[in-house]
Amino acid sequence: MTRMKSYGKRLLAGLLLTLACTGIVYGCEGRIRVLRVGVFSGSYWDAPIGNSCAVIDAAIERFEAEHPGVQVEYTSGILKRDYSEWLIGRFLVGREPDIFMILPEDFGMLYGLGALEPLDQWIERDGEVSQKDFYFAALEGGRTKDIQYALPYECVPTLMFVNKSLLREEGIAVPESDWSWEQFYDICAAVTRDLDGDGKPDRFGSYGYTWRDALASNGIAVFSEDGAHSLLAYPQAAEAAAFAQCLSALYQGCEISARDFDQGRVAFRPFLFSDYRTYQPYPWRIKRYSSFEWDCIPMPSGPSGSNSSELSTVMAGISSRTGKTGLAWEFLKELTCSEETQSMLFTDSHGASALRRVTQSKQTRLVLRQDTPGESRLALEALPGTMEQAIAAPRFRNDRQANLLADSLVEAAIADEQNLDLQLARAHRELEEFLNR
Amino acid sequence: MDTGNSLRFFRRLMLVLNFMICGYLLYIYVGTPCRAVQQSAGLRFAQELNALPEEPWKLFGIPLGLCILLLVSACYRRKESFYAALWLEPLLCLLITFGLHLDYNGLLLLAIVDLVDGLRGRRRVLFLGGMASLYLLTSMDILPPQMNMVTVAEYLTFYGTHSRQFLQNMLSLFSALNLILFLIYMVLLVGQRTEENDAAARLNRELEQANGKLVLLNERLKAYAAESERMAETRERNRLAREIHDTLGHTLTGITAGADACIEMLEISPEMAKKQMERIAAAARQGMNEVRRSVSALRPDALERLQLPEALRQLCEEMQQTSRALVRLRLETQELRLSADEEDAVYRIVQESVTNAIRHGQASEVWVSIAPIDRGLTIIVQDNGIGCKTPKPGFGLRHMAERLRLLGGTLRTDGTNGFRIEANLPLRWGDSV
Repeated sequence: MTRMKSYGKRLLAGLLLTLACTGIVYGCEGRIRVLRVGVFSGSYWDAPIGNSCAVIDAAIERFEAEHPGVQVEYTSGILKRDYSEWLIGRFLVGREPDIFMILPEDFGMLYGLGALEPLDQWIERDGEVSQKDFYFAALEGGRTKDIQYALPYECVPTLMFVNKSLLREEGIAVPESDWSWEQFYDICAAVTRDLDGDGKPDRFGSYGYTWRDALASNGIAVFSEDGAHSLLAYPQAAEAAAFAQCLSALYQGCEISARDFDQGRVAFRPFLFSDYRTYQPYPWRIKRYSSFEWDCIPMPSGPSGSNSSELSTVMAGISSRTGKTGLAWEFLKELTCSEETQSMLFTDSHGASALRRVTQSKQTRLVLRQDTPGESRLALEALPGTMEQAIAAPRFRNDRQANLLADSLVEAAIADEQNLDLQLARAHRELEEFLNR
Repeated sequence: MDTGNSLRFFRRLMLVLNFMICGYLLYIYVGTPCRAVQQSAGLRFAQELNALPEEPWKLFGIPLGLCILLLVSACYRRKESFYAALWLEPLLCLLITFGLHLDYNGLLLLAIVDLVDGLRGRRRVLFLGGMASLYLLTSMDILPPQMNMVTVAEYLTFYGTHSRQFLQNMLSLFSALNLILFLIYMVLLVGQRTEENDAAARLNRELEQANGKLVLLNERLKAYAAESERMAETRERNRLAREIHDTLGHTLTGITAGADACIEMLEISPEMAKKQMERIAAAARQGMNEVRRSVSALRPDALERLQLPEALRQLCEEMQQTSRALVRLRLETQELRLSADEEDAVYRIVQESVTNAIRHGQASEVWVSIAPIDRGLTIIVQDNGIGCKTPKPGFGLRHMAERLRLLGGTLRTDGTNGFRIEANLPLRWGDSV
């Protein structure tokens, strides 16, 4: 009996010792709280930026001033192309940052691994943040199965680049913002021609317009929201594929290159807003596309859709394993919801803010106008509308591989001129198999 | 090596093997992500996973700590803390099994091997049943994905086909080895138990045989004693017959013959008849003396050596000692001038009565009282035994009554309250035969 008692006592003593050690370790950590942040250098959209960390540095400075005793740290110099590998590596060795940027293609995997902290209850508890503050598509990028896992930090919509000089030459007016596939196709058909008489067209209607762009503007995505099904069997998807096929048929199998486009021999090209912001102002303006006048307008709408395009969004999220979720949430708010940080995206970066009040503010419009010379301001006027109409690609586990597979399958289907419907059905079946394996 | 030693050996061997397997799995759990990160293949590795692996220090440290606790418990457990270990060890094994993402549940077998020997009967059945259900539960593959656990198979997808196969085979081999050790241990344990049971059964059988022999011997002894008693009786009877024939018969024959002659002579010569009568009287006296001599040869030994009161005391004392019944003797008078045959009668009555009280009445207390009343002597023997409503006039009582009748006395018995014998003997004070 005495032995039993001493056995229990020893066990109790061991437990108390462990608790004490844990307490001491946490106590020591508590004096200076370090918040680790994962960021990458440069622009996600490869737009050249002067000081790529300016926005983050400013946010950290403000945050540290507001939260004494907190130190925010990040590893600088991680390139975008290394960032996914770096982040997942940190997770694997258990030294992940508390809060980190999430590339669009990484979101599905991080969510699937359970690496992201659900934010719904934080948003609910916090009076300052509302999901309505954000553009829908931007928010949707960090959301899956009706749970918000990340908030949009910076986003870039896709616009349609228009070679105004070429259209003027052909006597065609620049299309309105609410133009359609028919108009797009008619203009392309009109401008595509053989100039030098070698039997092959050397001026083209469009460059880089893919079935994905058509799909986005026809009100449908490749996959369902939860990533459980392929939507390729829907008639809207078939329409989009058929449109992409018709468009490529115009060019009689000619390989259109970026060089053709740079030399002003292409009328339309899907163009990222960040590129627009890069190449419109001086000095980049004279480096490229200087031989013709150009502007950007929204994408053409399909019969079942609108003038929408896919929104590319870099998000920020909190690690599900961090012990400082509260602090991390505060910093996440500083990055994604504060007007100071978000307006800096327009001055120090080339993306757009996902916050409506920032993107639509007078100040932002002023900043953008100062940057943009002369009359080419169509894109700026169209920006809020484009952001509203934009859609987000569904994000789920394995979406990276699923999208690669969809690309190869659908491109192969489009290349087959005879049996598009049959090929699409096959692609649909293979995608279903992949998703449900 | 005897069975106990080999049991201990296999237990230790299993312990070592299980720790090796734990170490092996932990090496895969911690080594694989680190290797993936080193080779910049983290992304490729993570895409194959269902959940995020835990932090390496947690993944490694928690099972390791639990393993050390288990080792301490298994090797340095005292007998007194067995019941504490009975819940602690299975709990530790279960926690480690969960720490190992349910990839290996052989530790539960280790817990069985470590504890089953100390349990008996219903407890053992309950313990084995509980452990078996835990084993089955942890063998199911449905748990890990639901609990966000990364299984070893997912870790192994990182390696090339050959390495993967090798690592997987090693694990299967270790598990199979553990199972084999478990089976060997159990077979040895069952064998040991069977041997113990056999030995006990053999001893029991031998004991029974010895008992039987003893009973037989006892019966033979009883028969022999009865036979010997019967022979002594016969011998005594023969002696008596001989004695009577030699002494009394001889004398009586002489007296009869002399008396016949006397009758004849009385008419012829009264003088001669008188002389003849004197001769007859002498012969009768002679015969009397002969009888007395014979009777004295039949007297109890005690009376030969001692006075009646001492002889009675000794008798009572001996009876008390041999029977463990309390025999109380009350002698109201010390001066008993009794003739030898009276003394004999008193002695025999007391002896027979006390013997009857003890043998037939199963009395634990017997009161013997001898008191002179009027011109006689009253002997009362009362016991607290079971009594006897209708006393059978067996040899003892009849014999007593005869003796008394010869001496002019009476015998009364009462069997309602214990058993009471009351004998009255008239005394011929000063008389001598």
